[in-house]
Amino acid sequence: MPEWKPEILRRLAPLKLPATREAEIVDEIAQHLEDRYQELLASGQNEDAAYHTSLDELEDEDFFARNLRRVETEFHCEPIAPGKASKKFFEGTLQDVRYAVRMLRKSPGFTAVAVLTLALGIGANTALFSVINAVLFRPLPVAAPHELIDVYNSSPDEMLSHLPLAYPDYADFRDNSKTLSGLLGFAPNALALDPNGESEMVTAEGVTSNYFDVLGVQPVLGRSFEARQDVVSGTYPVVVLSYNSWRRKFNADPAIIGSTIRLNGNILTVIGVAPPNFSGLIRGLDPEMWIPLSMESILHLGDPLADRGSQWLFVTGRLRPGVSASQAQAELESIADGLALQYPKSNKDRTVVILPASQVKIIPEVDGAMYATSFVLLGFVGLILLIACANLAGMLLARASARRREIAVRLAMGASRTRLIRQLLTESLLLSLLGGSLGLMLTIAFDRLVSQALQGLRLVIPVQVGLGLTLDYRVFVFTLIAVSGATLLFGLVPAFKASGLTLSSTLKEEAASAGGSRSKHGTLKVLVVGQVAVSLLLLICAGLSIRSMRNAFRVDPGFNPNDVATASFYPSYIGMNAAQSVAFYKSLSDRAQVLPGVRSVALAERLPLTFVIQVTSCAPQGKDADEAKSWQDVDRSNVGPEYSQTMQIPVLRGREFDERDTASSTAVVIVNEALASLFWPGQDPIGRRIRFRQDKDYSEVVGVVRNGKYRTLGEQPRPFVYRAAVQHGSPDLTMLIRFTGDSRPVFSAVREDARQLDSRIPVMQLQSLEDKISVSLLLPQIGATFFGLLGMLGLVLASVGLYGVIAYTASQRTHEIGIRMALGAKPLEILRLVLRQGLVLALVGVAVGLATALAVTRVLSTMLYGISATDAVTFVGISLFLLFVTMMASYIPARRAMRVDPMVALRYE
Amino acid sequence: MESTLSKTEWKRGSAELLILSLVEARPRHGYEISKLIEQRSGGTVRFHVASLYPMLYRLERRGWLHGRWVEKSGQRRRRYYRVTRQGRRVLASQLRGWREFVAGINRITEAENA
Repeated sequence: MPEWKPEILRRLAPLKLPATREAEIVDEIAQHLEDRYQELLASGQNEDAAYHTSLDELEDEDFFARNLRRVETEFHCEPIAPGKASKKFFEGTLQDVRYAVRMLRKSPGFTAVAVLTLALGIGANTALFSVINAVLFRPLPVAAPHELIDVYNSSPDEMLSHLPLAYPDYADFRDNSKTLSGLLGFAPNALALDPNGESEMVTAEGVTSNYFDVLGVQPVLGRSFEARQDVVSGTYPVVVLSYNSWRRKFNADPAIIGSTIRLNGNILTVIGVAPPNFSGLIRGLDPEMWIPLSMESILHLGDPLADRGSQWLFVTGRLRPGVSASQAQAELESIADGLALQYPKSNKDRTVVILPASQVKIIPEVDGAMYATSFVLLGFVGLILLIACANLAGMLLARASARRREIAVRLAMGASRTRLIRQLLTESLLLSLLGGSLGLMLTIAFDRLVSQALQGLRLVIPVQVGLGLTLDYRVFVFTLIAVSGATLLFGLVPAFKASGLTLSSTLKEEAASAGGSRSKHGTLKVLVVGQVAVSLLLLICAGLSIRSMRNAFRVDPGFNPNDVATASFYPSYIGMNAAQSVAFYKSLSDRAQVLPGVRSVALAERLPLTFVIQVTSCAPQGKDADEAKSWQDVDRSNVGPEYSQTMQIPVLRGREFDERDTASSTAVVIVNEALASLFWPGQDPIGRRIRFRQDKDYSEVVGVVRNGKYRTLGEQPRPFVYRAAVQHGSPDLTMLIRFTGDSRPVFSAVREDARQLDSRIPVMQLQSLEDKISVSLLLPQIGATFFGLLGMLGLVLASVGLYGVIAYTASQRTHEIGIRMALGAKPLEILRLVLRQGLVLALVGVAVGLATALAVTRVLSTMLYGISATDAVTFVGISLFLLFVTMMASYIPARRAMRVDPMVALRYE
Repeated sequence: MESTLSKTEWKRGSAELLILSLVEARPRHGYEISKLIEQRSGGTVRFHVASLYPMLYRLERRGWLHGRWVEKSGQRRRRYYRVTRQGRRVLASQLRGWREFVAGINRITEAENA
């Protein structure tokens, strides 16, 4: 039989085809020529003639090659398996990807676990980043945000170095500036929407009428304010709704423009709806409407627009093209200097501070803390990704061992080491990309949950918060960084290890790996130790947070929040002062008193643990002449009669406020134990007198009550003073009703009574005292949820990792175990042998984790209630728990090892 | 381009048509295809190895054919080509174009000779 192949090969040589492709063509053509040859022989030709006739099929020397070249060079394809060095980078990459897909498909179990692990690791990070992005990184959704600057006042004797502006100062800056193309002002405010029956408190912003124009924000419906309509007070009763409130409160009514809404008892016309992504200039705040500042009567700003003394307006300006922030700063400073000369009383020490608006996220004073918190949180969540990567690295190392033969064969066929590493990394990258995509989906779900939770917060805090969580390119870039970082973390070491095989040894000593030499799994063991350590750290944080939350729920606030209904009234919204509202409250209390099931009724200006803090400066009589030392900043509330009885705060000495205390009688106060022992240590405070800094007269102490919690549940005993509401303060009070039985009839009766007495007065926040103070439990709850979730994730991932490594190393030792059993080892001894290996790793991990936790948990100490950041019970308990889990993870493979049949094991490999 | 054949593509085009129609019914290997072309044309059309295989490879690259090594017992392994779904569409359209072309020629020549 003639040899066709050399002939064909010679003709193909100039094409320099890839080896496998060439071989394929040669095979096929040789078969064809052989068929032809056999046929010619059958038809009676002699061998020589048949040979030449067949060969003629290839025609002249280079005709075949010429024809083939056109086809083959269009699509030059390198063979996959050997992984030879390639000239063209991208083509090789495509091939790597195809090969990687094939390899991952071949082991769906491994792929699923790997992708899921990475999805959790990457997803946790991306989810947190999407929140941080919304607060800190996303630019404001306005035209040319880089041109915006924030303008603040600064005075040497003020606590904050960035103060809002007084309206008249703002107007002067706006009218005299040449460097700014526009200057706007805004002030967040709470308003009562639709005061029929129960009003709803809405978060609004009073804004200058150029607000939307300067920002370049176009309403999606209707129009924005007409500029300079806010010069005459009270003449521009219009409102622009936020997109969210239009959807939520007005059912996205397309005919809303031109209709009216009632705010604080006034009728306003809706003229526009802001675009969906626009929520004002303060991150995290989600104002529901914008109202011209000229409607100060509605906004009840408390500070008239003409008062240069009170600073309450946040101011943002837009630089003219080509003007720098420092030029604007210089110009505004000179205007401020002029104002200081013109109005020395108010403006003497005021200077102007300009910051690029992109640098200010909430207000300059808290931004630093936001950044710090964000990075600490990202650090913790990053640990999850670290565990996930360690897991993956372990799995890949184990897999690389299983693929030793494949890799060795490829090396033998001429694959270069770089090429192999690239191939292995491509597989890793593919895994991360899959994990990252799944992680992004988890992020979307997480963002939805958070947005809903934030809306739910409306019940406990009186402002609308919202982050407008969306996936923008920053989130995608972050995910990509996480994906590539993870790939390098978990892929690099296994790839280098796997590709660093020496040829002869691997092909020969395949079986030797079953010997279970200890050093071989060094990297794996380091990974397991690291995982156990990190997950212990996370679990300890989780344990501390959860115990802290339970403590927080158990903390005695000093009053009994159960079975108390509250309702807040806002006579000031319709322009009433305290004196004018006395009759209203009197009738209201009288009516509530006689409702069925009601035990007592009281009024209070502020309630403890609701994050509304009022501080006042006072000193005991006799020491109030002494300027600095004896004056104390003390938290206070104005309350009515029966307050202590209703709140169930024990009165230790003296009495509560009662009918004797009227607007014209002697000013009286009730103090708590802490204030009593501060001002009159060891003496009876009853009958003593104190003076408040703003008062000329003294107030007499008529009672002492037990200490409670006022600002936070975690606070130390804090001095507190109660003043008689009838003698001081604001007309806006909250009614407290202690009742037995069902709260619903109480609420509806109060709502109805208030409507009958004065339907104009907004009634809001009808809720139980328990709900109202639940805001104080928010932080511990958030902490416990956050760390609880992280801890669980870490635990699951670390257990999977440990299980995988023990199972793998045990399976590698099958041969050894077989020998041991053949030599008389008992199954239980084998079990112990494998378990011990897991236990040692876990113990080392726990030791490292404990050391790290001792150093790290101090970060948490400020948010823990009644528990030390190094609480021994938590540390020991969690360590034992983790050891137990890791033992379980090693037990399953250990049992499997115990059941090894010596005969099978010895034949193994 | 699929249905109208330019002059330069004349021969290759008709060869494509021939090959596609030969493998339409069932998969065939290269030698079988070349034999069938020779037999059915009564020896007037012949493709040598040097033109046939580059043609097959090209059709395969375009996704019109799919080649697969098949090993049958007692035989050496051969590469069988079957027409793909896309190839079927191309074949249908080329056949239509060809028939229109022939019909056109016929009308002209019949008119001249009538």
